[in-house]
Amino acid sequence: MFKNLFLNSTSLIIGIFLLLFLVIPIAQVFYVSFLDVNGSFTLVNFSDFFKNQLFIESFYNSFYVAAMSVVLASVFALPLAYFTSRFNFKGSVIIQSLGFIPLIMPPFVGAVAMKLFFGTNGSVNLLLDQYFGFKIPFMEGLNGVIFVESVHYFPFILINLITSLNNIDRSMEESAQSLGSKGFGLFKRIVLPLSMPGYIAGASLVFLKVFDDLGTPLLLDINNMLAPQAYLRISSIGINDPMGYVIAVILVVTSILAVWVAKMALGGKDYSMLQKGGGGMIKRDMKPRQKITAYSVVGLILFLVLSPHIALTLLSFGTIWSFSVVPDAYTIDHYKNIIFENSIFIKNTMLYCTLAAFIDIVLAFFISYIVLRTKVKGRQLLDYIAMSALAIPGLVLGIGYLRTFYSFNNPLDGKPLASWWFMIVLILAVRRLPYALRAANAALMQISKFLEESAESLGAKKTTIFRKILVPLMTGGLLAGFITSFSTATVELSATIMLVSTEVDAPLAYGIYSYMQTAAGRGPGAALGMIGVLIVAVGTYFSQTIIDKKYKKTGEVNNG
Amino acid sequence: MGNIINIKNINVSYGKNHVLKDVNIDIKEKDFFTFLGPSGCGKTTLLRLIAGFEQSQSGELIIDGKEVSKLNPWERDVGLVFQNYALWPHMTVAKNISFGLEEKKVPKNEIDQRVDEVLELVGMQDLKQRYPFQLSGGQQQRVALARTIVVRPKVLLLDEPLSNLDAKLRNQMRIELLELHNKLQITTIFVTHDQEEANSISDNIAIFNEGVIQQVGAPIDLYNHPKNLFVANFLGTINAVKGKTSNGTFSDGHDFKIESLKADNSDNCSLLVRPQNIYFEKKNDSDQNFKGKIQSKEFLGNIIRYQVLISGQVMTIDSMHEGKEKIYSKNEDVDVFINPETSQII
Repeated sequence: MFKNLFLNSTSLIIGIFLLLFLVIPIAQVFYVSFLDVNGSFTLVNFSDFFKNQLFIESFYNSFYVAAMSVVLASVFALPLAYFTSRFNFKGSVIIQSLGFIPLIMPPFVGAVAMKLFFGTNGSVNLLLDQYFGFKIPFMEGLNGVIFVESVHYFPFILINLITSLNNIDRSMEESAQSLGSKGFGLFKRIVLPLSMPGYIAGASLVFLKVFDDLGTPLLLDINNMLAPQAYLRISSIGINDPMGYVIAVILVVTSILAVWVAKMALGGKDYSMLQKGGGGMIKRDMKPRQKITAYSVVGLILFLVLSPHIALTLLSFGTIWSFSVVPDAYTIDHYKNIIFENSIFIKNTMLYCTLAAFIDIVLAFFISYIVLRTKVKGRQLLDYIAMSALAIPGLVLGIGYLRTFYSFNNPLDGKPLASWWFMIVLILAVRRLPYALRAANAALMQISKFLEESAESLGAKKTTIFRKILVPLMTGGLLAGFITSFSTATVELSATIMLVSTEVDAPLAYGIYSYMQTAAGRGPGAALGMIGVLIVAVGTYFSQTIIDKKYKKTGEVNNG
Repeated sequence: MGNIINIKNINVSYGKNHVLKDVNIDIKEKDFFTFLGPSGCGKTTLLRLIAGFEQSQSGELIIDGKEVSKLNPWERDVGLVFQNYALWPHMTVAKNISFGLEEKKVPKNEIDQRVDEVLELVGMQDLKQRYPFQLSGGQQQRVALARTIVVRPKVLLLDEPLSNLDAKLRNQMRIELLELHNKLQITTIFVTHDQEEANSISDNIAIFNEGVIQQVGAPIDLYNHPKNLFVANFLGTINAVKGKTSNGTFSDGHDFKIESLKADNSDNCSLLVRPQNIYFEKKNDSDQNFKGKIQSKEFLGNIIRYQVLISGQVMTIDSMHEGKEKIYSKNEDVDVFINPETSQII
């Protein structure tokens, strides 16, 4: 009796939490987009959207930027995937580790630094002009967004494509050869279609990420795209302007549509599950000339991928960097500034992200337990809702929070709830819950049910089992989830930007954004960015080590 | 009939691992030829070498009078059916089968006709538009076969094609394979580690062990006249006694002796007798009588297998279980008979 009461009430509490802080805000956004001034149902807002030249242009631009980013990211990813999968290539390890770079630094952080590197008067173009007498408009207008986004997100395509190529059973190619097929014909008829699922999965992810991204266009001063328009409407015209909501709805619908189109394109076939062997493509040794080409292509792409990091490092240590290849001089003043004088951003981030990650692992622990170990009604729904936060653009959730919680006042200070700093914690928690949940699920799935049942048969109560069996065994997984949630939350901008009402409450990502608005603030902004990148890098490293260790440990337990 | 494949002095090594050692085999046209051996013996490597997926360090490979060692797989006109079938998951049954014909630029109407013919041959005409994942294991096997034979290769190579099927289906497919071979008269090389499968299906067998061909011959010849202990053991249970032979008499150096053998003198040889060639009653005049003591008994259904101590040697004896015969118990004293004609000295 007690057991069921406990589980049911826990499920109910989690359900209410998700309803309040995820479902209702999103529903609000949809609801408001269909309301007229008098509060009754209307489609006028949508027709207004499509009558407005700026919005149509923004829609077109967002679409264009997302599509072109996929194209450019493919240009980066395809040769790399081909080299690693087709040839015995020493650079493979480097290429595989490139895959982690987008996890370490979201594109907006390096956007301004990239301008200084690749802009009209940036390092690369100054050198090109000096030696070859021409410039390349890498960062002009939408080009800049496309360039920055694809440099950051191409590894999504790369990783998926490499996985997919490695999953191709070698006999797929050999049987075609045995039947007389060879060269490009074989590639086109067998290898390409079999690797398509991986490519499409990666490409649609890139499309979504770019389409929803707010930070990069904002920092590059590009306003005629959907996400910046939504942000500007809400932040400058006010939360009652329906256009912000309409744009948010269009963002969500387009995201869902993109996923759906990708699914349709695949026809629901996952070939990797159907093949038995794996082993990847038949590998060949490279001829000397091929080697030179391969290494130069890899070198160039490596330079591009690392350029935001290099540029950001230079910017964070540079005194003045304008119309010159590298900064005039170097200093650590920017770091001193953000660590000692304006430490509020780092302090806030530490506080918010710790709280958010803590909320995440508590929720994740109970959700995964309820889903995997109990028969509580609606348990699958809890899982789906929690995971769905992955698909919702941060900006849309931010708008939803603003709308939902603006009309309630915080009993502590009488100000609107939406401007309370704790709401930032909650939105970060909801946004990063899927990461923690994934980690908790993985951890719980590895624990044999017999371990709990044997404790039960010895008379242990549920609470004792939680305390003495599950939590200790899941510690590694939960810790990994905590770190992932924490570190990725430190560089989250699109949701929090809507909720920051005063600089006193602002976290690090917002600090980067506001510093980067002025030329003088770029140094400290870059230093903040470096700190953020460092937190994520260290966090990723630790959670990876914890997971590796844990696998080894549980492996021993299972064998023994 | 002439040979369609000549394998001459083939050597294959991976680093220090010498996988095929000086292999020589000739395969007759239209033969159903089997490479038999335990796993890791090099049989699949040789098959893949013939298909063009492995390279030899030395030796010649001649198919239909032409040296093909340097040719690519797609230039060899041999068809390989993979152990895991390797059907392309993104193509229908019909597309899988027409692939090779399209590569050979066969006219469209002929492709359709040949695809239909081969589908009928393997009894799959109704499943033409299915995808591989919608087929059972046996059906996938038939499609894999159809895909290869439709291009009419000079040689059909089958890499353990029955190993992924359950026992019952395996027997059925074995019969179908044989019927197909009889109908198409296409030279077939079959790789397996299952001696029963090899015996039942093959015209000739090459037995491999550790990269070396042990013996080549028809299944019955190999069974009755193995050249060495490995072949003798691999093809079925056998009693082997070490000893020496002089003037037609084998002796283990102690009490065990058999006379009137057709064998050369040797100081180091083995006497081989199959368990079914030792009896509890005299059948021929030339049978030689021994005193024995039953050590243990195993009931295997159609036979009863005894371990019997005969003149200091423990021998396995298989006695047909017909229902009326005498069943011996442990420690019972028995008379046993061995015929020198069904015994062999190697």
